[in-house]
Amino acid sequence: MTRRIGWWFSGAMGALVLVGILSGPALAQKGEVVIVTYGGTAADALREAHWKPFTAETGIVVREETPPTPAKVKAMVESGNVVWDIVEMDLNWIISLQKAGNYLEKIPVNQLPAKYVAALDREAINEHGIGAFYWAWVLAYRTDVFKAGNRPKSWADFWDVKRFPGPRTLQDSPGSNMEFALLAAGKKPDSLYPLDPDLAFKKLDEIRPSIKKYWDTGALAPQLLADKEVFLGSVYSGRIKHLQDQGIPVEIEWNQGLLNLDYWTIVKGAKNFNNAIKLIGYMLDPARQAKFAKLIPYGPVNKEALPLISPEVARQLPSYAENKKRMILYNSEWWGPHREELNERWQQWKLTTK
Amino acid sequence: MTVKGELTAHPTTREGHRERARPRWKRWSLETLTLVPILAYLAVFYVYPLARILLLSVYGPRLTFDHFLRMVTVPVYTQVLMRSFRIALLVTVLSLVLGYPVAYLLSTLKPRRVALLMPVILVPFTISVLVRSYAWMAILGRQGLVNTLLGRLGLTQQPLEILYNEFGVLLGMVHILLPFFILPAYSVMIRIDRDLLKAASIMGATPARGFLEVFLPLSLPGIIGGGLLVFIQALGFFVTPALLGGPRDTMISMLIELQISQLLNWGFAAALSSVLLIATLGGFMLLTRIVRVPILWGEAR
Repeated sequence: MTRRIGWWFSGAMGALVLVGILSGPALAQKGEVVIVTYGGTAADALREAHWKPFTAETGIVVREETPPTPAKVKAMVESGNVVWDIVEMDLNWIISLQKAGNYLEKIPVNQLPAKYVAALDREAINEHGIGAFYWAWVLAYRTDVFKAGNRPKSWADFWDVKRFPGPRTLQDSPGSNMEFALLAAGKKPDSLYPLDPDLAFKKLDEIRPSIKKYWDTGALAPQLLADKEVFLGSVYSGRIKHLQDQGIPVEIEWNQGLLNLDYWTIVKGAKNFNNAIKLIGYMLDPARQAKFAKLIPYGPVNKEALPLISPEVARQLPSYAENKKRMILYNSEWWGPHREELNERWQQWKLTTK
Repeated sequence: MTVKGELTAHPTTREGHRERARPRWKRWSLETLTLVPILAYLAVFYVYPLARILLLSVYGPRLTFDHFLRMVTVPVYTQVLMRSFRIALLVTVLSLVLGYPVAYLLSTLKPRRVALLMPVILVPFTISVLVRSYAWMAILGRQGLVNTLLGRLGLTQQPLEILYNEFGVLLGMVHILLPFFILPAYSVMIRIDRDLLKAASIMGATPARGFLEVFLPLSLPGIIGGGLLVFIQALGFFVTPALLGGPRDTMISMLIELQISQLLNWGFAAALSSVLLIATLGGFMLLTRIVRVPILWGEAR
């Protein structure tokens, strides 16, 4: 008797498992989409502004993962086990991935809401990605060290260690640093690209002794400023508001910032391709983009979103007209074929003692 | 259990005799059978991926040695490799110097005391390396715990530069890797028969001489085992040097990560990894020439 119950029990369990296995993918095809972002406060804002209302309206569940890496996209596509749908990445990565092979779906722009697409900035539409939001590398500094009237206003000031003494930080990457070095050397923004690597590295030599740390994760730069380990440095623009909210005396100088944007891309062979397109289209809505920008200071790509944002908030956005016109658009196309070589040179440069 | 076993040579001669009587293939099949699961596991999750990495370094899309050529011709790669070895070696030596007395102390204590002290060594194991590295940043920074304290006490005029340089890297890495030295060293030391030290002193040896000529040589397997564990792990360290290091403290693992996740040049990353692997194995081989490493595998106790 007990044995028979045992058989019955294990049979039932087996059936349950089988149902689970069979229904899993079926459910997945019907109602979910996997989106990969850097998480943190940006994901909180995206969830609040876009994903929650999206699920409420469509019934499609938004599953979040972090962080995006092109290496994982490559591995997924090559192994045939694509578990990501939408991935946030900048144009550098899109170019790298498409140079290495064919790892991203083409975005069928005609399947996105036409009125939203018409309001997008030109650079927000790429063959393999649709703009998510603007961000920028900017100069930030401690206002308790550099008092009003004597504040760094350009990269030439950043390089001027006599007028603005103190430890500094830059990103651990040739991208952005070479642009800043050339601007400090007096290059005009409109003739910045193509970059002149020899001049850039020569100029970087000058600032080397004042660089205390090269940051490699976006969180480190604001941390260094908050701890007063450095007095000024290059940072991601969206990271400073958080410090200011805590009462830490830091300020952004938008002048000569380097403007860039992240894109929503779709992994080649994504299981929920149609849902992914639906969600990407949904996130282009100007009202929702305005709500997102209020939650975190990243710039909307839909031009109609800006008028919906109060001036105080808009001033902190990289795509705010006053800020945008003082910045330079980062040229990923130029970097594409030069990245490998210049990264090597950068690593070599860092090791050199001077 | 103790050296006594060694003195009586082969205590199981009778057993050995009987074993010899059994056909060789029978013994073999039984032993291999028990090994099958672990061998299969290693083959699938270790040997196969490793072979793929080695292959990737020379093949793709066709046979090429360009990656290795680049590593030799562009100086940054050998420079960083040498730096990584230097850091790993320093970390190992520091772990030895700091860990040996701790292991020794533990080995002299009663089990109940050991049970009290062991968690102090083991608890940090349970905290992520990332968190511990950030904690060091809070402690060592210009406005960190150490500098604030020294400043308040008037011992320093300016904050000490103890973060974002090699000192910070060494401190952070030794902190994380120290248990990997202490535990193997301790496990060897508790098996050393203390009567031997008494015997040495009866023969007229000073405590120092007894330690140097009896205890130290007997604890050598622990030193080597622990040292190797620390060295090999230190060689591949990533998070701690990235966070606590200065502008020039690049480790080879950072260059590998750059190639894999940023530049997507997996062939070159595989070549860098292969060289690291081969260099590590080479160092290990060299060590086997200097000291009798088989004692590591528990041959002598």
